[in-house]
Amino acid sequence: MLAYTLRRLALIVPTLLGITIVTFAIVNLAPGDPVEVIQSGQVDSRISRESYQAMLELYGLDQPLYVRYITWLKRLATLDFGESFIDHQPVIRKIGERLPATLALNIASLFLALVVAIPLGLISAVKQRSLFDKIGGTALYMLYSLPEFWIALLLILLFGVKLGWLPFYGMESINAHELGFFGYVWDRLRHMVLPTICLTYGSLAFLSRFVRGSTLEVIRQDFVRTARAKGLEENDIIFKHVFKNTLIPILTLVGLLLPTLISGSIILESIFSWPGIGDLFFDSVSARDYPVVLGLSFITAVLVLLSTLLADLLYAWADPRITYE
Amino acid sequence: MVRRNAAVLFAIALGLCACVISGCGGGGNDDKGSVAMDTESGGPKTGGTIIRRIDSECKTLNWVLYTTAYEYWVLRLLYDPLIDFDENLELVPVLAESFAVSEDGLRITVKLRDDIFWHDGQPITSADVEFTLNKILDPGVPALNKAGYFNKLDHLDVIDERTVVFVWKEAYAPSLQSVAMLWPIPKHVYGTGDFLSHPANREPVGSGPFKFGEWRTSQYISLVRHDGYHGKKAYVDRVIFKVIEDDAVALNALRTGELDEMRTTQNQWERQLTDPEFEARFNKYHYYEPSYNYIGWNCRTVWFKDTRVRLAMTMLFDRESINAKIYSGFAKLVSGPFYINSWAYDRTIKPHPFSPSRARELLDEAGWVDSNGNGIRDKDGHEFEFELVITAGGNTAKQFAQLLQEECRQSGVVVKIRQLEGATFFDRIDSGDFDACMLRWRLDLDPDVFDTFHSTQIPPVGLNHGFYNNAKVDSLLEAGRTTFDQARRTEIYHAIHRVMHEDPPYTFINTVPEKRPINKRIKGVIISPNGPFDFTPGANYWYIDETNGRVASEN
Repeated sequence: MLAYTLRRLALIVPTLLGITIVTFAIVNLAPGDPVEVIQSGQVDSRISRESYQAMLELYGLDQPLYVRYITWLKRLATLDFGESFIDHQPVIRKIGERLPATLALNIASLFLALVVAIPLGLISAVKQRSLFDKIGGTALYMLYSLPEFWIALLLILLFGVKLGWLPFYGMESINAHELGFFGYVWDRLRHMVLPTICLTYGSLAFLSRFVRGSTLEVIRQDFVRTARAKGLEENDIIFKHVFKNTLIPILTLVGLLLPTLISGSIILESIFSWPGIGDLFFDSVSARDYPVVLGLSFITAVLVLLSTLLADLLYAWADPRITYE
Repeated sequence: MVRRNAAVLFAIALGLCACVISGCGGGGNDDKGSVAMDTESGGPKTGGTIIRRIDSECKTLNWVLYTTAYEYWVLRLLYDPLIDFDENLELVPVLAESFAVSEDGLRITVKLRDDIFWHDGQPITSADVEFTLNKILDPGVPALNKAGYFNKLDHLDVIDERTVVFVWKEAYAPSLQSVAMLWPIPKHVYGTGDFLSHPANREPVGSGPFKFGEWRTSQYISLVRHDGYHGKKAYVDRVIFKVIEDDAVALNALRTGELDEMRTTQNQWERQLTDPEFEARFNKYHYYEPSYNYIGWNCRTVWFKDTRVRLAMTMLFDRESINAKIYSGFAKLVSGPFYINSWAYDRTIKPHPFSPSRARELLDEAGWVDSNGNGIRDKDGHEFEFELVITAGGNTAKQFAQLLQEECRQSGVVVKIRQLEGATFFDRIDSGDFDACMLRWRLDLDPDVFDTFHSTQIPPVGLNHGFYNNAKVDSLLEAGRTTFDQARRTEIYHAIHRVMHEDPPYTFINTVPEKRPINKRIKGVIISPNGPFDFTPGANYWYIDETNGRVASEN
């Protein structure tokens, strides 16, 4: 197991290197550069070519691509993500500033998704081909196919504007810090409701079908038949024997979902003006803020690789039949 | 000649050069070109909070480093310029007590008032002006959008604590406008530490009627009234700029009263803001910023080197019907390269009519006839088949292009529409590598368009990307930028307008208004020809009077 883990960890290095080359190339070869964006999309003949060149030099963009890549990689090796081109703040600080907002939203969403999807999936499996299974499945697939930006706007219109029950943009009210601790928490929670719902509903179909599928597989196993033959209560069978075994694939799945916790939804964060990572990523791409875009891409890549590894390890840990020796 | 970009959302995607014909246009009611002000009896009331929208997180509140329209709106309340345009677009002193141009036009003397202070109580002096100018011109500071205004500056003479002289390399009429572009920032704050990452970039010390309050990343920026302000004090306690990125969400916030004003899109203005409930609660303003849409013809190509062909193309392009279809009759047609509200624009010159028959005559005269019977006009073995480049993503530009394409087809001219991504598009434009292009210029208030039309300003030197060459325009442009006498200057620019009407470099299309509803509880709103913000006093003295708003919402 240890050897396997080490081997996998070692493999991450060349994979990451490949990823950095590709992302660096894509980000830098995309049309436009930060100096152009600083012009806000304008030319001004009064700006001489020399001063434009001087600006490129200021950002180190006058160097050939491979030189810039090596410079960037060298800094990255010391975990230095550089400074934003736009406001000259360290990239890591900018990311750190936005992380809590995205984490809060995504943890809430993942939690909600699991709490809803697991029971739904279980019931659908146990009552396979029942009306509940059919209607539930169809309804979830319909939800899955509804675009989230559209649902977001509908919810905003209904709960934010017509009924006026919930705030529909931002993370807190302007006077939030004057509300006292509980008032503040309450205010923050209210702001989370709509974005969390939008972030969650789409994944319900996928998750609950996944749970249903793996439950069905377990239910047909011999040991379940044995349990039934022994005359155990149906509830005991489902919760003690079936459910535990169903958890194994779910565990791996959750492992794979971990990177999405920090990556943030670009569309939803924009719609709800949620000051998170997705919002930062979008702003940075628009501004051709290469260091921030690269920093975020790199961190996401690392997380994806690590969580894949983690999922595999969890799998082996949860199911003793699986070994990687 | 191009500056501040209000079309932020588009600009992001754009790249170099003026911004493209974008999805905004006109639609609405109250037409105005003059100053409009809503007055209330009882006089302004003090107190309250005005909430405005910004469509994205500000990058900085350092005046030297700002680049976007929404940063500008915040800074506008935080800082006073030395001199500025007033609501009639005349230059007036603000931080300055007086300003004067020398006889030869080479020296502009600015005398500062002796009662002006930064928000931290330090006096504002010549040293701050000098410091700010040096920062703008510092090659290590990305302030290209401001440095451009001082290209022709030789140096700054600091005479004493209160007097500075801008000394120019040559007599240059737009130089006064350049001085108006300078808003001093405090030397005692920014003088130490790294300028680009200075803490004061997020916590500025200003000179205007409002001082910095709080900045919550990507959520809001609040400003509070500066009670120690040297000028007339503001009325409201706070102005909050909320970040709401999505247009539809922002409109909902406007309706629920969480925003007092925002810029709206053509679509919103036409379809979503017309219910009586909305009309009762909001004043809907529209105004024309200095900009115009045009089709640029490359005069080096075999087709467009002939004036008659360029005229014919203009007459084939049904600008009136575009106005009706796309802008609900709300945009204004333009006939020349100047801001329609400027003294430089000759209102007696009407746009060329839409006349396919006259266009065909002109094309025939120019020798473009279908000699080989393939349905396409040709001349000397060249088919009349050209490529019109537009930017990808702009729906309006595409509609324009298709309309032209159809009209041309009926007259035996083939238009191939080519959509290009922002930067690629502007690379092609900047190097003059196109047949025809569709673009928008944003203009300065000074009408000098030397860089866009003088024959020396062809790529890669200047912005004359269509290689326009007219000796008369050349000499008029030279005269226009060196003449200080206003009456004489007006004559010169009217003459340019006239010549360009007869020998057009472009097909001038239209200018599309900005559309901005403002809650009726806000009073003291002045709409200059240039809009509600971009002048002195701008939005400094807005105040709140709830009476009207309440009555309205109870209706």
